[in-house]
Amino acid sequence: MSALPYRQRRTSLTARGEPMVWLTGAGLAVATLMISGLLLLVILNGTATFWPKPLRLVTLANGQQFLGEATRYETLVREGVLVERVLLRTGNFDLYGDDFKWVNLRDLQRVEYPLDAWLFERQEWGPFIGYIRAVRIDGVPVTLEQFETLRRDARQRFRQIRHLEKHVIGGINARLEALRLQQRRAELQSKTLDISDKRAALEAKYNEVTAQLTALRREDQRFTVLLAEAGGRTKELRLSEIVRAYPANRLTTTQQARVYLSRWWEFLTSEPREANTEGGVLPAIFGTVLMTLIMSVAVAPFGVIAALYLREYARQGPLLSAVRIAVNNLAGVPSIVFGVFGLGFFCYVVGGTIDSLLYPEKLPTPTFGTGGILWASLTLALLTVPVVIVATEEALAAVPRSMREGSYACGASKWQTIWRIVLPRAMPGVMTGLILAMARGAGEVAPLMITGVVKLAPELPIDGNPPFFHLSRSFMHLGFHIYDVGFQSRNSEAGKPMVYTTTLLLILLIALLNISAIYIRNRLRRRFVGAQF
Amino acid sequence: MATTLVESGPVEAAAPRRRQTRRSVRVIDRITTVVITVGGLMVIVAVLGILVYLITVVVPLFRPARVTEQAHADFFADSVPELLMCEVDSHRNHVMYVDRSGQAVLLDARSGQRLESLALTPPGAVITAWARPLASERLALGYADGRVQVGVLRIAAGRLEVAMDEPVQVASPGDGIVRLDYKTSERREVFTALTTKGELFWDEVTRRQNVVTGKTTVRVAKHQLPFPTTTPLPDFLLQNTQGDQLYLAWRDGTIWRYDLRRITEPLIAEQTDLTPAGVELKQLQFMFGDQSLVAGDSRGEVTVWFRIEQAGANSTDGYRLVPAHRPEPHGAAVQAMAMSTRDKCFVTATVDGEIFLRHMTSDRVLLRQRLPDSVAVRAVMLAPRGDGIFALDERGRMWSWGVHNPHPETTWHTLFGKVWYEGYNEPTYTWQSSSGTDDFEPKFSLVPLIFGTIKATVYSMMFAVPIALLAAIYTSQFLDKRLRPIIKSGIETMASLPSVVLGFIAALVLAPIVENWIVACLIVFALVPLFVLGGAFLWQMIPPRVACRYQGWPQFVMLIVLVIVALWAARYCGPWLEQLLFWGDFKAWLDGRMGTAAPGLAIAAWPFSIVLVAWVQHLLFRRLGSARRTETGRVRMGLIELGRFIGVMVVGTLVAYLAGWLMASWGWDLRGWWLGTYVQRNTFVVGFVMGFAVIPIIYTISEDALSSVPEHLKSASLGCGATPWQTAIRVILPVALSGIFSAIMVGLGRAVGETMIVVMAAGNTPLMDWNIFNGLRALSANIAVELPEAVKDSTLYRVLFLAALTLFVITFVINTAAEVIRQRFRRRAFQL
Repeated sequence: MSALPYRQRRTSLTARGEPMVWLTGAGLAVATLMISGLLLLVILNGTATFWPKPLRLVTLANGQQFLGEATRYETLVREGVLVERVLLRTGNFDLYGDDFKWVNLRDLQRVEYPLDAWLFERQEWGPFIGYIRAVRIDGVPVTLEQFETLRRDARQRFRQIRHLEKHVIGGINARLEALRLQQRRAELQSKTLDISDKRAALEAKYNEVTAQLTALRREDQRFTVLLAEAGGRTKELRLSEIVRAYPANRLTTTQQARVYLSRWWEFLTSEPREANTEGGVLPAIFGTVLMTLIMSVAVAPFGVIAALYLREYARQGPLLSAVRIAVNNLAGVPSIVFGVFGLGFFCYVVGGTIDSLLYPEKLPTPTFGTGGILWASLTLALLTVPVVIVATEEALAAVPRSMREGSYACGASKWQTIWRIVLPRAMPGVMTGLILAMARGAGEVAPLMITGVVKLAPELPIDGNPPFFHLSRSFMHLGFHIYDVGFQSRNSEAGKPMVYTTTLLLILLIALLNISAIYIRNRLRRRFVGAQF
Repeated sequence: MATTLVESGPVEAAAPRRRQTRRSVRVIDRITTVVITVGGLMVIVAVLGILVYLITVVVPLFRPARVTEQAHADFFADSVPELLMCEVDSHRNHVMYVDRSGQAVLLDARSGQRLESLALTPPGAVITAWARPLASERLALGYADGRVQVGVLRIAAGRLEVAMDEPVQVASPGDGIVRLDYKTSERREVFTALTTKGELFWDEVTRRQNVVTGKTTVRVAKHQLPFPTTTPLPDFLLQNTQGDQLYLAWRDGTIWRYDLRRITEPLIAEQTDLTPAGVELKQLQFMFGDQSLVAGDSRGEVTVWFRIEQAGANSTDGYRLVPAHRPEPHGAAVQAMAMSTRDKCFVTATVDGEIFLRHMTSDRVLLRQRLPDSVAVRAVMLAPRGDGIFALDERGRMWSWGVHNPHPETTWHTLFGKVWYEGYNEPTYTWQSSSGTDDFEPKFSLVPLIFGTIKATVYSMMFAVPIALLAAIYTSQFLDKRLRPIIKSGIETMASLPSVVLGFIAALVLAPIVENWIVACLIVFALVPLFVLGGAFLWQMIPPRVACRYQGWPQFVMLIVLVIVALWAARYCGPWLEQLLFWGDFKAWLDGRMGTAAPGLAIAAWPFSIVLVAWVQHLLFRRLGSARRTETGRVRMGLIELGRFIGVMVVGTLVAYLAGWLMASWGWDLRGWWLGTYVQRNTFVVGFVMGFAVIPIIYTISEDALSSVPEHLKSASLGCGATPWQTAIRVILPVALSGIFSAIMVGLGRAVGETMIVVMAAGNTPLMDWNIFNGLRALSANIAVELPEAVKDSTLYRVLFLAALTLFVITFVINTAAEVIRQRFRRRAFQL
């Protein structure tokens, strides 16, 4: 905009409308603040969550003592007076029946940072905040210095037990189930099948593993630690139950950073525990990525074929533009509607048919006849196919007519022209459309809620048991994880840090997809623009 | 496409050489044409097939019941004896009846062959009254010697099973039992018996099992109820399972309602007439659930009565019996009725052989049958699974129909109209799909859900549209050109934020903050424009040389700072204003617990009064500014404008206060209408957070429309001496208006279908009020919450598909309209 109006002294101020211009600017300022505020909130909370906070011991005026991390401060108006209070994360859910405690700053008498206060992250019941009283082997106290080494050994044993329980026994069970199904299948075809030998072998192996497990568990019981909370009540825990422990007020910055990184590592690489409010989100990451991949495998060819048909093969006319508008508008149909369609058509109609044809031995337990990762992916493919069609069509339309004509003039057939000339030129647009579709698909939750996402999937859709790909299995998803932990868990306050980090992860994933869309578009455009003749 | 080309080389310009296209190229070309055509068409058909599939799932909801098979058999050779009861088993293979002599007889339903016969009564007993609770295996018989006998009678695996208890002496041995009703539940049995002498006994047997010892203690409570001896003995006696309601009715239509909630003080609560004078009451039975009475009379009318709470009701307990449903009448007297044991279906049959299968709540006749020769119906039965109707005619023939009746309760009216549900005081729009009890009737009205969707959409659009449009105008017309792409793509990233993230922020972060700072959050809407306008009026006074230098991004940064300052000010003004206007407690004021309506009305009137005062001052003082503008200095002019602004604000506020006070004195109150009790998960929060989803869409499309207005229009306008503001408002905006309109439509479509935000932040209560501080349940959220629980092909499942279809149609229509408008805009902009 030029400075033209300001040079004209004679224009009235009303005509200049400076206040109105500022008002329109306020709209933009509000929108900008909204988006930056939201992103800032998520990024700050998401990155700060895992940093170990100091443990403070607060003494109230009435003599009560609480030991915990300060989670957040809040100012509110109660009966016309401003009240400031702090939310202490006291942990010890099994002892207190709650994880948090609001403390009015006015009631505070003393705040201390005891050096011997520890925070223990436990396998169950959330954190324990308190002091170590004794480390015991077979009930006999040993020195406290041995705590960390013994704990590491115990964790190692714990992982071994987990591995045996989950993978070894799980594998045996899967094979037993497969045998049972073989037999049932034979029965259905009125044949007989003798599986007793195989079953006996498997059961023998099962017994062997169980014996091993019992020995390990007995060993595990020997190592315990005696903890005390701020009020003096004690609790004895097995060492293997403690996932992580640190003396919060004695940590140097390096040690804090180490705890921080180790928490991130756990978050990214392990399975959730404590009703998803702690631990990691690996299955959710896995589910999100796999679902998005299956979706793009399904959506890319069909979207491109449909767009090619609409733009290159179909006769242009009013009917076609009506179809084009309809396809375009499908992108605006609520995702939940696609979910409803996916449940009714994919899960029940298609899946039910597959079950009765291919898996009659498992009925009435459905295999494909219920929600699963395949159906969820196909539903999302349907949801995003209009995006790909529209993007591809636009890209095809943008290829200059002269290039096609040149190709025809050189004697190329229609398909040769499309394959060699048009499609490569349109590729940036197609890729952009596809990646935008992936970004949209990765963030959708509503349709997944009814087509197969679950809060806790016992098994991943890919594992070591044949046939390795289990596309009928339900799965976990980052978006649904947010909904579940933030909204449906026992204590949404305890899950909040987890939700923030998951949100951050999901937003990063989607931002990554969007940025790579822009990057690929620019790169390919440069390449093909350079090749123009 | 096989093309032959004529190629003429520049060197050998001799005879042109013909070359054939290779065969493989032609074949591949043909194959790809077919593949792409078929594939493309298939994708398009599949995508559009969603609509078709949704419709095929929904359609069965509206189909009437269908007869799957029909048969008849001779059950009695000549005349039909008097039957106490007549039942069919759940497989529809056997029919059982009990006759006056106390014989229970089992017959084959298809052939009418007698399979088994057992005597129920002790020798010498004469049955004078009987009762068989609905959906029960128990039975009670009253004898002429004043004894009552209860027991079990059922069909089990094709045989009769009888286990009668010892008879109990209820009345004195000289008095016979005339009427009897008997109800059982898990822990207790209640029966009411009327003797020839007019004594009305109410007995309750409770069984309580001690958890520790496992011993069952039986307690019997006996009471006599008031019954004037002078009145004739009633023809019908009905008592509910809880034992607190008792009805006595006579053939002339008189009915007495007893209130037995305190059994020690029984009362005749109400006396009324079920039929008009001269019309005989032929049948009276409880509907499944023991709340509604179905009455059939000699005219063929069928009415359903239940009690409702009514102020000024002519009864002792404040309830009144009302004829809530009057379904389609028969042509002749009602002779027999049968109630379903699983829902609100029932069968009525007449003396001229007409049989209707009806549903109470939907007032719908699901099936009509007429016996040949119009022979009178003696008894009708509804199979326990609701899949068959049996009718015994006067000539002893048993007619049977297999019925396919999956969705009796839904009609267009029950889905979209007001329905009078049992126990409700008036017809309502209700959504309630599940409950704990067995005799619960699901209520599927889509109206509260559609209302919830509209409410969420309206409030979020009220917030999003102004911000998005103002932002679009500023971006396209006034923003620094270097900032434009950054800001635009920044706001567009807001569109790709997953809505579950927004829902989480809304429900767990914003809702508690808003709850604590509600007044501050409300006054932000006033303070932001006030601060910005104030800043602008001050800015006007700065010399143009300086102002020009800071025109670009510094102005925008200043705006952002101003907005932040306004937010900060709101935080401090909030409590103060709450004290000043709302007696220190806004939420208590919202509840209506304290204060008058005036402050709410004044706040609502405030924007209007500001506009009004501004307009009036414009009319009055327009000359003032323009007459002096040539000679007055910039600072003086600016001061005058600032004074005018402050004046307008002060006068406007006073006018608003006056108007609020006046309206309050007329008795108006926004509470209970647009305002009301505060709930933590409310529409205010939803509307704000939905803005994150809707603003970027409206912003992007309308900014595109504004920027694609041809540059020469702008140049011409500026060249004629218009200011940029005048150009933007009078030239650019009108041209882009249709594009902006289509942007709003697309935004509307997104708001209508938004699911996760509404699921998480709206509380999901299916209410119908406009209160911005209350929750809502939207169509989309309802689907997401209930579909995972719905059984395939159940009524709920199909109704949820209907909800999805409704959403599909709404958004499709909105988007198509938007697209058509946008194309028109493009054409117009191109022509200009």
